[in-house]
Amino acid sequence: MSNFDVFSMCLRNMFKRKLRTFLTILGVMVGTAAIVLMISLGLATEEHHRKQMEDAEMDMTMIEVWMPWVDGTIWNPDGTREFPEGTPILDDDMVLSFERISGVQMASPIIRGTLFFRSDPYFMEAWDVTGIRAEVMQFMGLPVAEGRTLMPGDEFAVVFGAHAERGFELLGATWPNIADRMWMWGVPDDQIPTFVDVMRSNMRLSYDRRFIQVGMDEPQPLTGGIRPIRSYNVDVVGLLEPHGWQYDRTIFMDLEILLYLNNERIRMQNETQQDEWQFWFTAIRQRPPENYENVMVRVTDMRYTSRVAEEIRELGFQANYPGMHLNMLVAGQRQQQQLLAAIGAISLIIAAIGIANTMIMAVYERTREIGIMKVIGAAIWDIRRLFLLESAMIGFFGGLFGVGLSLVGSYVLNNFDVPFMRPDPMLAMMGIEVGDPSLVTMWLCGVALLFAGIIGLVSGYFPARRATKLSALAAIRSE
Amino acid sequence: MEALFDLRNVRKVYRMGEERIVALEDISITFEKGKIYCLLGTSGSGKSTLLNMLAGLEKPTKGSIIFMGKPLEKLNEKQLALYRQRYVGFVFQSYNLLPTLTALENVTLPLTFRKIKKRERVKRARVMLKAVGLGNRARHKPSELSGGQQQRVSIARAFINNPQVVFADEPTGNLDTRTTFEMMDLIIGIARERQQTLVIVTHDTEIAQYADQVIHIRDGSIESITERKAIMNQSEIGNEDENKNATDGGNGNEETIV
Repeated sequence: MSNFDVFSMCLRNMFKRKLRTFLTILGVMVGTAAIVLMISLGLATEEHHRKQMEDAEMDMTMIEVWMPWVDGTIWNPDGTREFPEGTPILDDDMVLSFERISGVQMASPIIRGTLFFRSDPYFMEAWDVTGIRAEVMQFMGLPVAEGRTLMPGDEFAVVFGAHAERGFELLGATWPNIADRMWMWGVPDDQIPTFVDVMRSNMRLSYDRRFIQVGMDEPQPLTGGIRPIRSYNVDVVGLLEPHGWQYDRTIFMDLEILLYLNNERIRMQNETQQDEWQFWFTAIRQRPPENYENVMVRVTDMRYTSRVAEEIRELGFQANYPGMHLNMLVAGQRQQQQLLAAIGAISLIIAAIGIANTMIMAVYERTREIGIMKVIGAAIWDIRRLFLLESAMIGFFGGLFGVGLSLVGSYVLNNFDVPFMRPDPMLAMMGIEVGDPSLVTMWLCGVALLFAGIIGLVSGYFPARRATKLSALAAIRSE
Repeated sequence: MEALFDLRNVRKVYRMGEERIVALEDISITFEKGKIYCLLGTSGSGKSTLLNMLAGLEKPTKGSIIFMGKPLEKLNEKQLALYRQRYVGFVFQSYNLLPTLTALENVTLPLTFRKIKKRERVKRARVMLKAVGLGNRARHKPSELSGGQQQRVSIARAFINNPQVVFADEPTGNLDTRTTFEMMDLIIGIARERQQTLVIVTHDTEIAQYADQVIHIRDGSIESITERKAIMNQSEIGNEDENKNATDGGNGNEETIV
């Protein structure tokens, strides 16, 4: 039989038992609408959540990983720490293993250090220099006022936070400098005077405090070592827009260069101590730290953020990301909605049983017809298609009307005050905005339709098989 | 004449629990193309069983049914469906029309299974319906037709495919006498006109008179075979002389008759 013939015969069979077909379709319709509505609640929450994240300009693909607080940690006088046996260490190997977690685009340590800048006749003691990989900085999406962010291949290149340049002082001034004092007095950042146009000045930096102690009255106790003062030419390649206190007083530079400078300072101090104080201060031997304090992990999509953070927490670290509290809230809601979706699924299963029942009844009822068709030359495939198509059509139309019903239901939920759908008053107290409770997307409609059709097919499979297995002779004799 | 069916030592045994019922016992007979046959016997004689086996609805317990050189009992379900589709037409006692379809659609059904285009189907069906005298009833459902009219639709359906053979199982069992003769004239007329093989199963000797060859079946075996001429001359010459016992074989025996 051609497909069209099968189709038209199916329609005829369905119309012959209008009420039965209608009731079965009604079952599928209610089941589909139930599950679509339940899923739409979840989608609405997710979508609202996503929008909130976007509005807040939070980069939810960045996870900050920190060393955990562990009982029994020993703090050494030189500032390094010794952790108890079995504590996870945030070292290069660990960073690599973060990168192997699925969904992680890159993981990179972030270190901090203090450097001394000079742009004569001004100097600055910058105690918030951040060493970061250029790629990570690019991903952070910090707004640039002038120039650019760090690029791979940069060496002695720095990017100034919006107000970092306000730390410059006239050489010879004593600490605390003007800027620090004004900060302490609570003067807004942008009213602190700037002395140096960092983008257009010659600048040098050093890890060595002696570099800025020009014209000071008293030499510092740790100075005067054997090592000559080393300083480096530095390019200021960019200046950032104000972007929050975490960034505005920071100077960014390449991770490897800052690591090198930090280690050089420690080595220099060790030389000095050995030279001058070894005989009574041997216990203090500064050494480069074996682990990082802080690692940035970037995931490829914000859907993975909470999972990756959870996996990192399981390794024993602290892992935070912007909007984490919102995420936890959503996770709670999601659990509730999964329960609701399960209820919807049950009603769809019942609808599927309804289809199977209808089809078995149809096979009984049409036993004789099946026999006649077989005797006058219907192939097994024809018979099977007749029943499969009928059950698939019941599923499909049930799905179609169900999607329609769920659109109506969604509209009602979104536009009328439905008592049991009122948002938790706790959310309002926490200052969390609540969006529409239900969202039916095109994608959801399509999947629901397809799914309903497939359920119809599956439910019709065994009845159809039963029909094809009937003996033509026995069938034709049955009344 | 070319042989259409060639039955060789066909035996059919039904098992009812412990009991074994022999429906057909060692049947050997040949059906030739273009002839009209009648399987005549009382109910339970095995004539319907024989018909079902010819139509591929049942398989013999033993022996072989050769249709145009191929053994039917070796075909699988799919091939049998194809065999019925291509070569077989059916007229039933109880008409067996599909109640959801109109007369026209019922007639086209065999062509539908053969995937013939709708326009072609309808054209042929209209010709067929006209031939059985139902040209103006094409759009009626079976429930709107009388028994005789339903059987006419059924006859049209059986012949529409130009099958090699049409089986008619008690085609007039549900009809009154007058309609019976109309119907038989119709079937025989179409079969003769198209030179199609027709196998009629009946217990009615009056209907048997329409056949070229009457095969008397009794208790599962062929009792005798009567040629048409013999039936016509029955009153003059007498039955016993012309009837031959055919239990010992098909082909050779028939030749002696002819």
